[in-house]
Amino acid sequence: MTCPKTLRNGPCGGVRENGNCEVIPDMQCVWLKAYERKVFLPLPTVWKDHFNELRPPVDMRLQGTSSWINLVTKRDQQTPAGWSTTDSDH
Amino acid sequence: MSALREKLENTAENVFTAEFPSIDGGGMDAVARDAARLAPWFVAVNATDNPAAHAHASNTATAIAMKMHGIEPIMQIVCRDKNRIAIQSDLMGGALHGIENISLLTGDDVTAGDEPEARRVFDIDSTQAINITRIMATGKYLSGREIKPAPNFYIGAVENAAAPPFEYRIERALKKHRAGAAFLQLQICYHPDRLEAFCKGVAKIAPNLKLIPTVLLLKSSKTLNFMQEKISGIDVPKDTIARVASAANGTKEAYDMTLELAQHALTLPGVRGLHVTDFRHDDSLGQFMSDLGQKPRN
Repeated sequence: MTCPKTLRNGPCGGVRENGNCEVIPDMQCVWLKAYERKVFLPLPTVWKDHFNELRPPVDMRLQGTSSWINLVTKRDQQTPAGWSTTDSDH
Repeated sequence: MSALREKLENTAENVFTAEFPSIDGGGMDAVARDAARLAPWFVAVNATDNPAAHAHASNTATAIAMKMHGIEPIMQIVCRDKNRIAIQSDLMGGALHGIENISLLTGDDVTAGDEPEARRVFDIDSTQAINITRIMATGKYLSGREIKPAPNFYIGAVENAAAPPFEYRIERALKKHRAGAAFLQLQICYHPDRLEAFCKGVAKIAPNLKLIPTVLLLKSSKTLNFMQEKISGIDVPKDTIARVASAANGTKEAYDMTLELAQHALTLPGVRGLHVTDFRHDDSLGQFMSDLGQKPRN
């Protein structure tokens, strides 16, 4: 996660005219890079659609732990009890 | 129901919003002066949250002060300075004082401000903040703890139609709408073609989302140059700067240019009004609103 604002749901409004980051002017916006790859790579639509999913707040307790283990154990899918999205409501 | 919600949801009228000047002293007298200047023209006015990463009187305190002076606030909350606990606290604090209109933003980075050495928070992002506000309006905090009765929020957000990746900005608007945003105030845009493409695209996939583009009243090409050089995410074309810089009467040319942008924006699909930012601080605001066919409110 190299977005200096640690954004999880797409690029902020500060992306420069040349596509670079507001905070680090010499670096391309990582969300711009991800979006362009999403558009151009021949991936299944179901994968491409992941881009627009609402990603929940990060569990800060997982900082410094293995993302692979958290993926396998599904620990990284736990969300706060009150979290819901409109898509999962119906 | 807030007047902003009433106008946007139950009428077809254009709605005009503005920015309340940041408070750095001057007390309630300053608030009263600004309230008197803005009240005739605007349904609701933004109470900003440390704009451009500069500390000022807080968003909640400003919103309450505005309300005391008869101005309906749109309380902004940015993600830069507060974690999820503090953001929910802002929301409940606002609700306690009857503040309904909320606008949730990522916020400029700390490096845009006068204390670039500060820690940036960004515990949650703007879309998550919108969703959390929507959840709170259903009667619970993010933790699941009950809020009874549920606060009444009219949720808004912002988007920049003119920052790359342009095509994605439309999808991002839909994402914010699905998370709970009923209206979007848009970043200042000097590319009418980009604004048009954005509004047309949003109107197609999110027809109920109310769009409020921003226009900026300015005095000279200096402001345009400043934005072009200093504000990340705003691009002012060379021709636009040259038009104002080379005019015999630059102040008038700047005014005419802004009026043209405003009139164009109001013709676009999905657009339900304008957000007017005033950097001129002269008597042109009244003229501008009259030229857009507005009459002062009581």
